Amino acid sequence: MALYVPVEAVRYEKLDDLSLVFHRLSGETHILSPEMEAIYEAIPAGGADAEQILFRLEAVHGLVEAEEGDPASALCLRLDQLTELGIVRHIS
Amino acid sequence: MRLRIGPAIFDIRSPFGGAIASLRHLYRDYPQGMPDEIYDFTVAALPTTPWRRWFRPSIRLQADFTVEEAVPVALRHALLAFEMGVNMQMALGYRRDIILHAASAARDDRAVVIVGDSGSGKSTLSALLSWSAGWRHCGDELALIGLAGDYSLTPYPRPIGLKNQSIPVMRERVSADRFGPRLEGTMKGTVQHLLPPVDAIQAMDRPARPALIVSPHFTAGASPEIRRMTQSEAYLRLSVASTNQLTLGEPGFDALIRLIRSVPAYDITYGTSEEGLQLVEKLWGDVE
Repeated sequence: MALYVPVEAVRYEKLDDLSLVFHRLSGETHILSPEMEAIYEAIPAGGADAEQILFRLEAVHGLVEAEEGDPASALCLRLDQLTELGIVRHIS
Repeated sequence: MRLRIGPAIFDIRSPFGGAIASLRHLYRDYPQGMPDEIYDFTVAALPTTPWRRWFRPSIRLQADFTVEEAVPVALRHALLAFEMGVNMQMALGYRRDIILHAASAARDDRAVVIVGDSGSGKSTLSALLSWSAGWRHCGDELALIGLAGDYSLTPYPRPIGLKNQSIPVMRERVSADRFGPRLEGTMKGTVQHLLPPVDAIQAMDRPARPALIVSPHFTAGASPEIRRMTQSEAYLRLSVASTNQLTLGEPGFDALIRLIRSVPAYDITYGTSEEGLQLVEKLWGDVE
């Protein structure tokens, strides 16, 4: 089962309506959209698979909908984007 | 010549003796000489080509930090070239503080930081604050905010670069001997430097703690207006205004976050100089 784990070498700061992730290794600062912020916050420190993350999202935000396709595949797409940014690790 | 502005010592070189003499005169109230001091940056104004030393003299900058798109400058605008060179060293090479493209002024060692794009009115507002309202001038172009401790602002009070319509505004208020030569036909139009009050230059080693951030919007005839920025807006503005946040890494990120969390930020719109001053004084009264 593939696990998504938040990378430790980041600093996460929430402002009033903006969430920032400073990546210590690259020195880059990423601004998360509200959607990405919710997903990022739903990933536990020890990691979780997409199904567990979707469950956590629904527990906090209610029913999760996707603009296209099913919520699970839309979530995987976003998780992959967080992985590409280097702020989440993907462990197979 | 060696010249100190705020915390940095510049070693300035040029074969154009007249240009160096103009610089010495403009910076007459600042520490000069210091042959035994270690300097931070070198700025040299050299002829664009060997023959351009005499024929239609034109200069190019050679410095520790330069940008590729720097264009040659006519010798008559040498003061601007030196200013560009000196600012570029600070903006790109200074590492001890986070640098914002912003003006600043202090009262009772607490500072207002004035952020805005070129032409928004920050130089004029900082000149008005120091020459008409008794504030201590701390800079009109770059604000240096500490990376630790109380995140204080280190003054960098170089001569204020007034442009176009802001020149007569200050000529009405300040005696002529505090102005540098009038530079016509520059890339920014007419430019004239205004020396800060001597007290401000003498106090340039005294830090001030940021207490207020304003972003001025001068539009002739506009009604005065104040709008509080959200922290997110303030972060985006200051992040864009910072010239070295990326270079500094996490301490730079940290300093910026702490600044916008602890200091209120406002957009101010005004149609006259007096209104601009009144708005800053009103906000200052609120933060005190």
